[in-house]
This record gives sequence, structure tokens and C-alpha cells, in this order.
Amino acid sequence: MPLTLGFLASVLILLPGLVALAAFNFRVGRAGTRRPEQQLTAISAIVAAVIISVIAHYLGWLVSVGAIDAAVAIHDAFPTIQWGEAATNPLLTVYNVITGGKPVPAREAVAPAALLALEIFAILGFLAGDSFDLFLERLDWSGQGWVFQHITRPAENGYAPIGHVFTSTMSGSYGVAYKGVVIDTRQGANGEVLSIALARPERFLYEIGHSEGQPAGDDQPSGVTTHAKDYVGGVVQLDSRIITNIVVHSIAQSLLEEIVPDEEQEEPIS
Amino acid sequence: MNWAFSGMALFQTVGLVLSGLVVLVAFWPLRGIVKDIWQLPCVISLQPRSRSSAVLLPGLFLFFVLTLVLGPDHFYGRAFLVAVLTPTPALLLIRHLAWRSADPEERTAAAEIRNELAGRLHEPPVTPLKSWPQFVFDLERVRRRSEYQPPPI
Repeated sequence: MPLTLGFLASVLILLPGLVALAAFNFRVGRAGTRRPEQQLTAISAIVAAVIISVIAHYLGWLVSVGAIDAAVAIHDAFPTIQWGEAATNPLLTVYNVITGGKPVPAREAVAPAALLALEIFAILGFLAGDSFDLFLERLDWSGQGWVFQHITRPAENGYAPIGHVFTSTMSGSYGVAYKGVVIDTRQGANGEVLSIALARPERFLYEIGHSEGQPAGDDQPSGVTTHAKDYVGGVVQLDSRIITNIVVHSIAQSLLEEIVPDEEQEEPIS
Repeated sequence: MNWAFSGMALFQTVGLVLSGLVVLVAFWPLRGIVKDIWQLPCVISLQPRSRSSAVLLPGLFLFFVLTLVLGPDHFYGRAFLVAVLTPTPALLLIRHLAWRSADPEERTAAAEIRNELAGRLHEPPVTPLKSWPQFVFDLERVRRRSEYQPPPI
């Protein structure tokens, strides 16, 4: 796209919507689970940017009308207060520039810029507020799928998502697996898991089939045996190339603290 | 050096302090229009009956006073002043009412949730002895957390 003055002017008009998208992407990126953010060329992103910009400018126009009228009202009630002559509505100035094509004097051009800054701060204030957080909480906006239901939501509601990650690091019929609290997952554009990180995990061997001389018992009909665990500690990050499968169980934090009372408080998750 | 003894320096310093105070007061409507008014729909929708009256009563009172002071003309101007000046005190009132009606257990649970979030966002922790700005929302988080069912194991 060639960078013309017209392009910059349209960006300026769409700026509230673009700021909303950027702030929203930042919010989503703050969680421990992450998917690539919405591309600006995606239809839904453009529609959202245009709608939010239109609403923001409409509210900005209402605010300007109200503010100018309030100044006039105060002057009429107390004639000693002099504000100078009544300003043009900043959005009317913008409209006149677009339709008339005449340059505006600098003292009139300040007002649209100030109004734009006000609109952007209002959008940031709304998106960063707790009310938007509560509104968003139960919805899977970034399309995380099973990760949202089994990792993000439990972690936000006082549960610890405990992940068993079976890796493809095999030796004969033995493989390496890790068990720990999921603290971070990365997902690709289609929702596939790219990597997963476990906090203070335990490592253990799993075995497919049965050792020689040990008949298959009824208690292990699946033929998968797990062996003793050793504590690894720290954080283990597992890449999707070596992950065979992931099992996640959500355990209540309070229950975990009862089982392991001397262990220090879990790290904040997600 | 006439100006050195005329008291002008003192007046200008006092003027600087006064203008600082005026700027602080001017932040009240700015905060109302930028931040607080957008919290009202969510706060009201959590408890519509009591909280809509907690917003409407100060708003209508302010409208009445403004009409007495500014006269019956310029409706948009008065409506704007009400919309800008009401949200901040209304939110304070709602928070105070919610704090009064909450049990000590609810306050403690809300403080726990707030401290969990505050630790994640590097904000100062709170105590359940005194209310904090996001208390109303943390109370709702307590309710949602008690209702939450994890996926079956």
C-alpha cells in the first residue's frame, strides 16, 4: 500500500478503533496462554475498527456539543466569566476540512487533536477497566479452544491445571514424561499447541507394554506403566516437536495446599 | 530591583500552588468522562435496582442544582456537566454501600482475589480492613468463582 497523505488521514480517522484492537491484543497477550493476535487485514478486525471508530467519534461529537454548550451556559449565568468566542465543534472542523478541502488555522486544528486524544484515553480506560475484564472473562475471544476450558479458566478460578506431558523421547519401549502445573502455552494460528511450560515438574518414565517376565495384570489393562517420579524443579519448557500428548487435570488450589502444606505458595498462573 | 521587594515573588509562588490545585480539581470531570462513566453499565447490571438509584439520585440532584444556578436554557450543557461530574462520586457511593453490606468472609475472599491479581500486575496488595477501588468487581469475582465448575477429571 503506497504511503500517501490520504492513507495517513484515514488512519487518523480510524485511530480509536485501531487503538482498541491494539489494546485488546495486549490484554489477551498478558495471559499465560497465547495465540497470535488478530491480523489487521482480517475482516473482523477491520469491521471492529470501523465500528469502534464511528461510535467513538459520535460520542466525541456529543461530548463536544455538551462541553461548548456548558461553557456558554456558565457564561450566560455569570457574564463576568469570559471564555472568548464559542469554538466550532472539533468534528465539524474535521468534516469541513474533508468536504471543503480548505486549510484550517492552527488554533482550530488543536481541538480535533485534543478530542482524538480524549477518545483514545477513554477507549484505553474502558479496555483496561475491571468491567471489561468481567465481561470478557467467560468468553473465549482469542479462540484458544480446549486450552481455554482446561487451563485458562481453571487457573483464573482457583484451580491448578496439572499437566502430564508425554514426550516422544523414547528408548525401546520407555519414554520420558513430565508432570507439573501448566504456567504457559503458546498456540499457532490454527490453535495447535506450539509449546507448553510446566512449573517445578516431576520427571518419570512411562513404559508401553510390559516388562519381560511380568505378566499383564488386570489392573493395567491399557498396557501403559508409569515408573517412579523424580523432582526436577524450575520450569521445563516442552516444544511441540517432542510432545506426544498432553493430559491436563484441574485440582483445587486449596486441596493442593492441604496435600503439600510445607510447599511454598504456587506461582501466579496465567 | 523594584520587583524584588514588591511581594510579586510570593504572589507568583502562591499562584503556582493554587493553579496546581485547580488542575487537580479539573481532573475530576476528566476522570469521569475518560474512565468512570464506562464502568457504570457493568456495575449497575450486577445489582440493577439498588445501584441504578445510587447513580440516579446524585445525578438528578446535581441536575436540579445546576438548573437552579445556570437557568433553564442550555439543556445539553447541563446534561454534559451531570454526565461528567456524577460518575466518580456515584462509584464511590456504590463501593461504600457494597462494602457496608458485605460479610467479613466476603471481604476476605475479595481481598484474596485482588491480591492474586495485584501480584500478577505488580500492584500494591490490599487488606480486608479497608475497601479498595475495585472492590465491587472483586465481589462479583468471588461470586463467579464460587459458582465455577472445573471440567471433570
